[in-house]
Amino acid sequence: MSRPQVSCNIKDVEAHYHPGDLLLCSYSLDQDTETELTAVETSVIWYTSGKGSEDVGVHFFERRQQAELEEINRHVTQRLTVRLPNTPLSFDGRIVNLNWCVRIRVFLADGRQLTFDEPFRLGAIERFPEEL
Amino acid sequence: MIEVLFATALLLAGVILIAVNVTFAVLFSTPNAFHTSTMAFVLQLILGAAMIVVGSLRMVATLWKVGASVERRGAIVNRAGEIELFNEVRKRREDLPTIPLVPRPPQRGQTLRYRLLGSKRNSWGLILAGGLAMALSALVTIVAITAIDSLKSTDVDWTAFTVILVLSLPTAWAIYRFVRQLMKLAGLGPTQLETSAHPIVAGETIQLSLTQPGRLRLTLLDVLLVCEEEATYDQGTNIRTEKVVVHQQRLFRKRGISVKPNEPFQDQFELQLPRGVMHSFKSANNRIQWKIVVHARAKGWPEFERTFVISVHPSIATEKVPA
Repeated sequence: MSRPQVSCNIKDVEAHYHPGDLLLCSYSLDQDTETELTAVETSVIWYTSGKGSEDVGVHFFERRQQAELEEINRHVTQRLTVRLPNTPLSFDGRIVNLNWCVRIRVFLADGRQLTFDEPFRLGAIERFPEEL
Repeated sequence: MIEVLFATALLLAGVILIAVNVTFAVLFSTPNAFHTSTMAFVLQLILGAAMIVVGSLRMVATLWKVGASVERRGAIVNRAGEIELFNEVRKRREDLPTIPLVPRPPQRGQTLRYRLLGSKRNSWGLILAGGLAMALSALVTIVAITAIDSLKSTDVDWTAFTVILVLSLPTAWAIYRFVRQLMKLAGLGPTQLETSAHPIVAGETIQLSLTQPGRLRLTLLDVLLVCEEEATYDQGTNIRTEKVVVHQQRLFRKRGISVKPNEPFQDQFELQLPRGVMHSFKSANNRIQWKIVVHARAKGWPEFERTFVISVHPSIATEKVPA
């Protein structure tokens, strides 16, 4: 089975935000004429990584169904404006990590899904100092 | 300590007295003999029950004297302040998602503004140990009477002697555990920890007040600020939880403290939370928990540990929380 020809270009996501900042970014999808999209989901999420099972928290979510995909199909750049929350802040721990990202999930007509993540950091948490 | 030992001895003596009487009544009485000795039997039962009641009451009274005096003083005021404090915390929580509430919300303090509620003392452990000690003592007594009685006849009950031999060690162990747990509870009363602020904001310095009632000479008293990462994951068909201490900071240490029943140890010290540390966090499978751990050591005693979970907020987020 050939891979669907879809690419996503998420732009203007800064590497670091402060709590309460406005996240302004844009994205555009590029797909070949044979690939049909059924839905596109845009979200701003945090997720954990490390030793534990993954937890995901959704801060912003938007789903566009087939009828609303005309612009995306014409490769028009989509804009996203989201006010970021105060917590949870990005964190790199020993067995618990907390990550933020802008995620675009594309649903294809053949049933498959493609996910495009653009990570960023929220807050300025430092690594813990050595044990005292 | 002597009161506790006396109360325990009285309690166990009562159990043994009842066990002896019931065993004699069931095994050795004939209808006539039972009739004539009914009065003595009932009196001994009453005496045994009285010993159990008096022993239990003395035990509870001793523990109460050690433990409740500080707690009781602020109880009524605390209840009134509880709702107000809870609402304040709830409002903050809406602005700070994923920061959990502490399991036991703080109450209004006496020395400082908030009184943190620590981990509960192991009362069930004491009840179980006491129940086990009494049940085994009663069983050994009953079997011992049967065994001793069999010595009068030619047919010695070796099975009873074997049972005594087998049960004597667990019984002694159960009594030892019970007395030890009891003395541990009586020796060190409930730790009271108060703070000038709660939740605690990263980068801020707050005051802490520690009050420790009891009746022991502590060789060491440590207060630590601990941050722990906790991760829960599936491993095959099991669910495992791993905890790692990622930050530990000593807030207070003192050696050679005499804690007397009417003079609880009290001291104040500071907690400076480094700016930029991770805030408290909780999701379904991951957690970052901050706590203050009070650790005490006394010669000849197991180590005491009391834990107070605290809520840590990020400094930057707090600045953005509407007043």
